[in-house]
Amino acid sequence: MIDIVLFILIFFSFVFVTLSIVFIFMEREFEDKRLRGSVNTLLIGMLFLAIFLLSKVVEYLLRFFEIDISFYASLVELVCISLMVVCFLVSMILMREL
Amino acid sequence: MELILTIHGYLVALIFLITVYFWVEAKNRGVIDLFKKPISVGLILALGLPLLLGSIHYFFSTTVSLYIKYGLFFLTSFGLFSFNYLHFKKNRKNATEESKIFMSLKKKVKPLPLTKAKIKEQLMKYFIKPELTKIDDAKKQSQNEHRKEMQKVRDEEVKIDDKLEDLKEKEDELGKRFEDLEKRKEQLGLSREEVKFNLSEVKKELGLLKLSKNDIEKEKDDLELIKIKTDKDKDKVKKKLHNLLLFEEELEKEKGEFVKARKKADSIIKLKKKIDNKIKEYNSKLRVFVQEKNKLDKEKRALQARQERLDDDWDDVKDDKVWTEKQKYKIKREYQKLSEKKKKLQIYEDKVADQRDDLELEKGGFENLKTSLNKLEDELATAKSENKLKDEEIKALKSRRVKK
Repeated sequence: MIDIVLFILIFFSFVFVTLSIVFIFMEREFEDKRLRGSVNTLLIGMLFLAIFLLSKVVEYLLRFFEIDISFYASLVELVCISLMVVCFLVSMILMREL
Repeated sequence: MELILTIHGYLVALIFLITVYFWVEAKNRGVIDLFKKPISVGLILALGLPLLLGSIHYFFSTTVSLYIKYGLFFLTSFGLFSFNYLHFKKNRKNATEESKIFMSLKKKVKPLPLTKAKIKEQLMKYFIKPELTKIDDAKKQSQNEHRKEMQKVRDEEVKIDDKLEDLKEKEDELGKRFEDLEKRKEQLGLSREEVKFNLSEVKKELGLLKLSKNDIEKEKDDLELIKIKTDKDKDKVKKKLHNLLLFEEELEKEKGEFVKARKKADSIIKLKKKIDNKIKEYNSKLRVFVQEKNKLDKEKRALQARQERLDDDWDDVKDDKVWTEKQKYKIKREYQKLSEKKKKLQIYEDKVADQRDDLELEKGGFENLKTSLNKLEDELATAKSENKLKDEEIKALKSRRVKK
């Protein structure tokens, strides 16, 4: 039961995050040119977040078939979250330099 | 792995806090406001918040921290998505409108060849001419206003002239009235003399009237004589009228007799109609009798033929010994029956003949009546015509009386 609820939450989070990425990417050209770099890095960070969420979706999905990939999922989480946070930081640094 | 993840969690939380610090600083500097949707940046950073909370799972149980982590992920991602979607929809609407306007402008604008003369021409066409037309319009407007004002002034002048003319006319009228009054004054002086002259004339006329009075008296006497004569004539006419009235009374009496005769004639006509109907009935009855007689004749003939045959048979059978007595008896019986029937038929025939004779007699009587009625009818017609003539005479007499 817990797994199902968590799976639904993660799945929809993943869907919303990917759709947000799509919208931000489509409207990227309307933003100020000076902000282009920070927006791009923010988008990359969000992409890592989406990958992390996808790995979690797959992990929970496979749990229903009694396949445990939690180790690999944790690895992906580790990498993706670190890269995401770094991307966000870089984006803020780029903004600071304006 | 667990340890590495927790260390990683703390590191991520630290970096995230630094990022948030930078974001706050950028916001204070107004850099964030350069974004078209500054809230979206905040929301993106908010996506890191669940990670921060998830990393401190020592405060909560693992399941609770998981729920908090992914629940917050879900909420922030949903917020971010809905905000971006609405913004995108709005932008797209604006963009389509802008593109439409751009396309329409693109269609309208034609490329201009860049020769000086043409540029001048275009300038004249699009900038100078409209200005010139505006100036001309303003000029025309001011001229129109001036004309209107001038017209007003002229109208007022005309009104003043009219008033002046009215005043002059009134002045003239007053002058005329004054002259009339003076004339009347003079006339009154003259009329006194006229009255004196009229008096003498009236006296002359009075003399003439006295003479004419004598003539009238003479005429009166003549008229009285004529009156006596007319009275005598009147008496004569009265006598004549009396005689006429007597004659009229006689005529009225005759008329009453004629009316009675007419009534009688009407009753006779009714009777005639009844008799006609009866004759028709007898005729139909006669036809029926004739038909019946014909039928009886036929039967009689048939019986005669049968009797003859029976007689023949009897003659044949009489000497035949083989013929039984019974059959002979039968034939005899039949013969008797036939003779009885024959007798009955004869009686019936006689009866029918008698009835027919009676009917014909009745018919003859009715026909005699009819002829006498026709005669009466003719007499009535002559009487009617005479009556009409007398009516006309009475009317003529009446009209003469009225005239007299």
